[in-house]
Amino acid sequence: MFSPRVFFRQIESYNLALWPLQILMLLVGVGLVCLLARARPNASRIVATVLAALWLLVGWAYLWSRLSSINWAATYAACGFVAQAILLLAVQVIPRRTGASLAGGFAGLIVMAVAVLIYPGLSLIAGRDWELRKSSA
Amino acid sequence: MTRPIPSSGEEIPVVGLGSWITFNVGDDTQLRDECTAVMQAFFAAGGRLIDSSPMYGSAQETIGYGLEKLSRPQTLFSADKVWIGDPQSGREQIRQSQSFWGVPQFTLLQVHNLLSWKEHLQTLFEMKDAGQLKYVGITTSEGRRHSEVEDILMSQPIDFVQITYNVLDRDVEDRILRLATERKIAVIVNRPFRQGDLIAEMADHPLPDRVSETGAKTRAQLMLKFIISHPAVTCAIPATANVAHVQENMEAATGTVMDPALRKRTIDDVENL
Repeated sequence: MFSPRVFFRQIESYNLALWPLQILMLLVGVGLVCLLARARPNASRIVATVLAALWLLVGWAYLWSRLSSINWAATYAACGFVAQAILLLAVQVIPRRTGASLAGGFAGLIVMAVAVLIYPGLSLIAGRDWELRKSSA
Repeated sequence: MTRPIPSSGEEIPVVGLGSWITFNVGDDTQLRDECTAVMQAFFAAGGRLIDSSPMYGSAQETIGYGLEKLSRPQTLFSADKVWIGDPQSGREQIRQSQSFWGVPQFTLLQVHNLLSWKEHLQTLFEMKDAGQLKYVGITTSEGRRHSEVEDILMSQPIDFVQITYNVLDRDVEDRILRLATERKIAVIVNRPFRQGDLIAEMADHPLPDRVSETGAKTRAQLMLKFIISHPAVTCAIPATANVAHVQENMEAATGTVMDPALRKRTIDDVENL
């Protein structure tokens, strides 16, 4: 539906428009992990609320406002992100079982490992470097 | 080189301009300007028919941007599509497409991939009767739903049918192209290069000796010459975002076409790669 060149130029311009928000987001990520690790009161509620806000931000700022211009299916994905944000908030008001699920914890670790270790490396595996490249312009 | 539209006798150049993928560039001004340069080269070489669809992301807006920059060439043959499951929304989608192109009406509207074709064809025929549209058509691609296309060719008074046809995808020759000729329906050919794969496959092989007699100098021109040599074909619509490529494609509409012997040899050459 769109060429790789168009997609990567869009990613590039999106990142430039957000800069330096990426630094802040990294700090927010570290802060959320610390919050959970130290098991402060209301930690999970704060984490879920922040994640819901980020889901909404990505759904609106990227999927709805950017990607949908070259991929109409992104509007549906944006709606999915809104639904995910609502679920993240809803889970805080739904009574939960006590005790952590071992399977759930393991799944969470895998998702986190993919997000932190594998996903950022995908562009390197695909042959793209970290720096903005004039060749994509 | 031109071919007549059988239903009207109007002549159109045998090479047009597609917009699938290549013109879907979002609101990236640099890429929009590059597409405008492609359109400028296309019109400068005598091109007329530009084809798009609501399914092609931002391609319609890119075309509208280019037409505005080029002061709206009067020779434009605007070919778009209606592509929406709800028949009641067809007219609204067409109005939106006209707004994206910046045209008061389209020259040709086609039912894209036969989606809700019975209802949309009714709408398009009504628009044609009301003078809001010149030609009505249907489209399919990559060999899908050919038997249904044949039924429509037999039963509906359409002006155009758009299908995939190239040196390797020749299923349409036996039935659809023959039917189109019998029913006096113009044929637009999409995916002439299989989205570039055909040219890539041929890259390491020399052009057949006799092909230069037709005026073809490159593999792209050879592929286009093959397509437009079929007497049922009215127009092929290669898509590109490259000025040199559009000029190369338009050159294929000059010189002569292939005779049946050379077409046969071209098929053999490509199938034996």
